Amino acid sequence: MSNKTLVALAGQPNAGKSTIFNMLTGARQHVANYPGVTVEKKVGFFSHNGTSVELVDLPGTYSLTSYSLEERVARDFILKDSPAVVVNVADASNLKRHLFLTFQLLEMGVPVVVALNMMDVAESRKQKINPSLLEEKLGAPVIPTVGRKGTGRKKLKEALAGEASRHDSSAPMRIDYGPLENSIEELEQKLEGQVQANAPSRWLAVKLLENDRVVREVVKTQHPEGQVLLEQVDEMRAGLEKQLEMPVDQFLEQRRYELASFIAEECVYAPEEGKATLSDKADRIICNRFLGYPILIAVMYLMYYLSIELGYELTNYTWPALAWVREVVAGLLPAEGFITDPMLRSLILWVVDSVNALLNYIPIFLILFAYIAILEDLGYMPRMAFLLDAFFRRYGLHGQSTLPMVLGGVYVGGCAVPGVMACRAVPDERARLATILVVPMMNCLAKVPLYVLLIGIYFAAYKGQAMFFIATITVLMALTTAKLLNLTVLKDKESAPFIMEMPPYHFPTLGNIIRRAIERTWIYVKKITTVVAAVSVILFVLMQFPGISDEQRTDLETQATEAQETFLAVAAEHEAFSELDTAEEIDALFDFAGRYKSARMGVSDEDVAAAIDADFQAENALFFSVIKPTRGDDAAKAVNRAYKKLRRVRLTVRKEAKEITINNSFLGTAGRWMEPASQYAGFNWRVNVALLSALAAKENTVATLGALYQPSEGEVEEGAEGQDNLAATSEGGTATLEQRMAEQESGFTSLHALALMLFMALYPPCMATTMIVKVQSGAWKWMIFSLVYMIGLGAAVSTLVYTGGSLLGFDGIQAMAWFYGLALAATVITGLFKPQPTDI
Amino acid sequence: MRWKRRRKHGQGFTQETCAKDETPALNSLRTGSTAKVCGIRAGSNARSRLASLGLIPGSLLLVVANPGIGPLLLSVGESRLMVERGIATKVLVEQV
Ligand SMILES: Nc1nc2c(ncn2[C@@H]2O[C@H](COP(=O)(O)OP(=O)(O)O)[C@@H](O)[C@H]2O)c(=O)[nH]1
Ligand SMILES: [Mg+2]
Repeated sequence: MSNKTLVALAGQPNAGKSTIFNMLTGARQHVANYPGVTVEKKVGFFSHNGTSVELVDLPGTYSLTSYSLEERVARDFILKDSPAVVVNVADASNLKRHLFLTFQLLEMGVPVVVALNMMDVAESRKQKINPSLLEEKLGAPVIPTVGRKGTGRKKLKEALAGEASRHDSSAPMRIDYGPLENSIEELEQKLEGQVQANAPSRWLAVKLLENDRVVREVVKTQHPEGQVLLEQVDEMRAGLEKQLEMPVDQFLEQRRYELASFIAEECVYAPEEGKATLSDKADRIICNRFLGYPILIAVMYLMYYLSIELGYELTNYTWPALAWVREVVAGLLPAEGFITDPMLRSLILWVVDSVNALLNYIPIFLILFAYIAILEDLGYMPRMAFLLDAFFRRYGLHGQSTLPMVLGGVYVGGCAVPGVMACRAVPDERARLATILVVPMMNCLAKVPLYVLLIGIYFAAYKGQAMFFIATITVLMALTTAKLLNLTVLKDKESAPFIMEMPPYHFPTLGNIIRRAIERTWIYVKKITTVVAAVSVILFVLMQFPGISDEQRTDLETQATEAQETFLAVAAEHEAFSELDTAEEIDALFDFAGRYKSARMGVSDEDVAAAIDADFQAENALFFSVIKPTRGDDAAKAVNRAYKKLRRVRLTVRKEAKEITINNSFLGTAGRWMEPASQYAGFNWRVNVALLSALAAKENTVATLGALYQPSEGEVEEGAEGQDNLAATSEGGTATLEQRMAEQESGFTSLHALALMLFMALYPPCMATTMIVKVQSGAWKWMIFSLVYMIGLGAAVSTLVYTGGSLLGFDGIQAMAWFYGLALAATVITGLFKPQPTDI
Repeated sequence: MRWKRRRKHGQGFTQETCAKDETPALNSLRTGSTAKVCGIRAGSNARSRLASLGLIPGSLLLVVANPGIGPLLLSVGESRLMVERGIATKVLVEQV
């Protein structure tokens, strides 16, 4: 039964290809990249009358030349994977232009089914279209569709099946190239049977005359007399150009265009072509040189507001759910030990914490992706590109780089993961890679806690300025870097001229938006959590092993036993508590107390609290009276006091154990090992450890610093433990961490802090981003490059600031001002370099 | 190198040679003006992209927005196109 049919979906951008793709496949699809390139490949499945069909969404292309990566990818797929049918999605309301691509598909000799989409738009423009006449002219089935409403799904599937199972070779429409026909025929004869290209000789002949470099290469390598033939072609072309008085490729284009207008005129009655539409009127405002920018800023601001601020609010509701999951998991694991916990418990909770830290962003992502889907559906993205292209182009980026940069966090608070994901919209390979490489420099949400922490301690008098500095300096550095990358490593990458269609505004549909928001969030969750979970295991090992030495453990155990004995002595004095007489009982007591605390966490309703109390009291009245002595029960009070003392000792011992562990760990060793070099950037080993741990997720930085700068007494246990809710780390947690850091690092100055912040800004992307860079750039090479150059740049900048600043005797704020000036100058100067000519 | 055209191609599709020398380029047109393309001096990559979007010698166009810097927004047939300024300087037009 499993005869699988491969079907490709081709069409110009905005023809509704993705919509038709979804219409045909429903939810069964997956997204990857074409091998080795930055172009996304979407594959979906459906079955029709027992035949299962694999549908591949080709990149949207206006034409099928070899000039752009997308066009080559689309063309190669048709040639190399030989799909049974190519569905050509064409915009009925703009038929003439879309036929241009249809012809090229037909010329390639593949069976084509035309999905004549946007019939509703054509209708609303009062165009009358005759699909059967078109079908006759093209010699290929034409199915009218309205992708948005799902109209034409069945007919399209039937036509597909019909075309796929047809065995007689059809005679598709043949374009008459007039004065070139003789030469084409001559070449055809020379090529016939000599080249394995899966394409008709006529197509190869036309492409040779067009001077298509890929086809030339194929002929050169495969044809027995390739070199000679190519020379003949060149001669032929030169002769034709004289005769035609224009380049041959231009003549071919014009010929196709004429035929397209001819067919369109026959098949479409269009009363009001060229009239200013509502869209045009809107564009007069939205693309206006003065009004356009305030609107752009407002749109961006709203995006930040809705996703970051509102989404953040929502995490207050979703975090308890994640925290609950953690508690449930914790409950299933072996209980805590007095000094250190069982390995299994620490490891699993560590992984859960790491994954939770990222899952916590889900509400933010849902809102963000929904908002982007709205902007995409509306058609605002190309307008944004239009407004900013001139500026970005100066730095080797592209108008379409706007969205990735904004998502990455142009001002404070984005995330590089969706930012890098959005890079696929950049239709120019060089600019796309440049964007992928600089987006991780933006200020992602997770870098913010460290900024807040350091600014709070060392730039307290200049909070606003320092925040502004860090938010804008990253943009300056990103622009400069993008330009430098363009002039160096990316120099030979392909760059396309900025000639794009501006699709008319569409009204977004709710279903579509929700579907896409969920789809993209799901991709994020799937890709990210697996990677983060895996990396967190590695990190755990690096931070836990080789562990505490026997000597150190004995020392801690002595302290612990002493305290336990003191407590047991107090308990023994009181008749009611004499059952508390072993170390096991003490562990059980702490387990009980821990569970009670988490049960009561966040409960403010008195009735609920009373119910929880009752539950715990029922479970173990004795333990309950130790941790919550009733009023007037003096014995319980005394034991409770002893318990509190014991708890304090326990905390201290545990923290000490943790500190020793990190100290001894591989990461700690690495941190110390790096100190001789990193000291020039102002980083001591503790900072090194924190930065190393940030590789997994940036949230780790502050959490690790929290673990390294041990709190003194009586602090809440969970605070320093790990990746708490970000809000807690940046507000509750850091308030005390600030003091601790200031206290314990007396040698640390504002200059150190500045160097650290700049390093953080440029620091390599977290693992999640790194993986996405790999996915979007399609190559390990670029992933590794992005890691290496960012570490290098970060180290260089922070060394410059710290060492340079120290030599000149600057304090942090002076160095900040100087560095800002330098960066600004660098940005202006690099911007003056002429952009590479894009016109090849 | 400039290409002169005197020929007529196909059905109802005429092309004229650009008037010599003082032919203006697309980038100099103001918002709201209409023009006819008479020659494209760009290289084949840009030219083929323009052609696939419907901008070839003989096409009529309306300048929807020319902000003075950055790309231009054009209306060509049913399409609205953004064209980089650098390319626009290579598209020769006749005002109509
Ligand atoms: N009115 C109308 N809009 C459509 C139709 N098909 C797609 N669209 C919209 O056109 C826009 C572009 O569609 P999309 O599938 O993303 O185009 P692609 O670039 O070819 O993948 C989206 O906003 C769609 O909702 C249709 O048949 N009628
Ligand atoms: Mg699409």
